[in-house]
Amino acid sequence: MERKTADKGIDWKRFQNGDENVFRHFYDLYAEGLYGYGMKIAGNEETVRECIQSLFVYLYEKRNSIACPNNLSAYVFVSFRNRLIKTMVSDSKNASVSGSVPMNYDFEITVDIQESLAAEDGDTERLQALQAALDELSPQQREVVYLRFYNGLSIDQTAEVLGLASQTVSNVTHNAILKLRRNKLLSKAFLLFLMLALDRFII
Amino acid sequence: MISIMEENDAIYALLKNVVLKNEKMDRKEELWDSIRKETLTAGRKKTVIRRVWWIAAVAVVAIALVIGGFASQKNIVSGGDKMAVALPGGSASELGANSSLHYNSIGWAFARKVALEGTAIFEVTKGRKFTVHTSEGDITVLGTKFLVTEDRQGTALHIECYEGSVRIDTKAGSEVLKKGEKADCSNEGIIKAEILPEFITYDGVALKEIIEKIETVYDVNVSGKEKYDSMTFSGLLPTGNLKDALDIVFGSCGIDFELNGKDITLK
Repeated sequence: MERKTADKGIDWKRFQNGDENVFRHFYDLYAEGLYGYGMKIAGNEETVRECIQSLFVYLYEKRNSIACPNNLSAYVFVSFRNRLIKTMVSDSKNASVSGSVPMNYDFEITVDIQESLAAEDGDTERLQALQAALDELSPQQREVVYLRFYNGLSIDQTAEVLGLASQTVSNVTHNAILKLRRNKLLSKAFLLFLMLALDRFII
Repeated sequence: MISIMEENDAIYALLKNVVLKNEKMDRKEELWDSIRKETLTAGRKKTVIRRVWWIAAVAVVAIALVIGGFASQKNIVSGGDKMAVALPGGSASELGANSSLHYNSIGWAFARKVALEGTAIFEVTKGRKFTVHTSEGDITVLGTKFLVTEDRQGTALHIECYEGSVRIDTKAGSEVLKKGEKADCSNEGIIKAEILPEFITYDGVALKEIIEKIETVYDVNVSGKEKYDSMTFSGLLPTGNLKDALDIVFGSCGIDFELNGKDITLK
C-alpha cells in the first residue's frame, strides 16, 4: 500500500494560473489522506466530504492570494483540520443548547482486520494486539502516530498541523512508541516486525 | 539499544500493510465534480453579484443626486405683485412684481447664492458671503438690506443699499456701496449716488435752492432761473420723476418752463 501523502510537489505557478490538470493532481494527492484523517476526527462522512469540498473550493478561489506554502502537506492538513473543527463546533452549537462544546475527539483508529488479512498473510492475533495497543494510546498520541506513520508527515509537518512545537511532537511520538512496546501482546509482534524492518532497512 | 530512528522504522513497518477502517474514500469522482462545479459557478456568480452591487450603488447615488438636486432647486416667480420670500438661514427677500428668484436649498449650505431676474429687496442675516447673481453681474454682501433691479433687457442694473454695505462686481467694474448709497451699472461703468427719499419736503425754502437740488438729483441744467431768486417754495419735491417734479415746483410758482432733454428753460 502506497503512502497516501508523499510530499509530492504541486506546480504552484500553474495552479495559480488556473491549470485544470494541476488542480486535479492536487485533489488526487490529498483527497483520500484528508478523508481518512477527517473521519478519525469527525466520524461523519458527510461532514468530512463537505470540508474537503469547501477546502478545495477555497484553495482554488484564493489561489492567487495564497503564497506557495513552504510545506504544502502541512498547510493542506492544518487548513482542513481547522475547517473540520470549526464545522463540528458550529454543528454541536446548533444541536445543543449548552453552547460551548470543547473540541475533544477520540481519534479512534480501527484496524480493519478482514481487509488486512486479505492484503497480506498476517495473523489475526497480531492485528488484534495492534488494535489493543492503539486503543491504549491517548487521542493525541494516536493522532501523532497516524499523521506521522500512516500519512508520512515529518515531525515538523505534524507539529504544524497540530499547532504544537516540534519537540512536543517528538516526545509524544516517543511515548507512544514506548506504550506500544509495553503492550505484551504486541511486543512479540512488534519485535518481529522490528526485525523485519531492520532487515529491510539495513540490507 | 534501539535508536529512535529504528523505532520509527518499526512503527512504519507495523502499520505498513495494515488496513484501517474509514480510510477508503467512496465517490471520490463525485466529490471532485462538486468541487469543480462550485469553483466554476462561484467565480462567475461572484463577479455578477459584484457587478450588480456596483450598478445598484451607482444608481442609488445618481437617483439621490437627481432627486436631491430637483427637490432642493427653488424657483420663485412673482406675479403682478411683489412677494415676500423666506430664504434659508433667516434671510429674506421681497421679490418685486414680475421677477423671479432661484436658489438651491442644499447648495445653500455651501454658498448663499441666489439668481435674480427682475427686482428684489434682500435682508441678509450675518454669516457667510451672500451673492445675488444677475445676468449683468454679481452682488455680494455680508448682512445688509439692499435693492437690486435689473432692467428687462438685462443691460442695466440698479442697486440701492439700505443697511450695511454691498459689493458690486460687473463686467464694467467693481464698487462698494455703503448705507444710503445707490449705483447704476451699465456697460459703460458704475455710477454711484446718494439714495434720496421719494419726496423731499420743503417749507419756505428759496426757489434757487430747490432748482439746484433738481439739477443735481435729475442731472439737468436749468437756465433762466436768476429772475426767480426771490421766490420760495413749500411742498414735496419728487425725486423719482422729473416731469412731476417740474410740474409741482414750477407749477406752484406759476412759472412756465420748457423741457428739452437735459435742458430746462424757465420763461
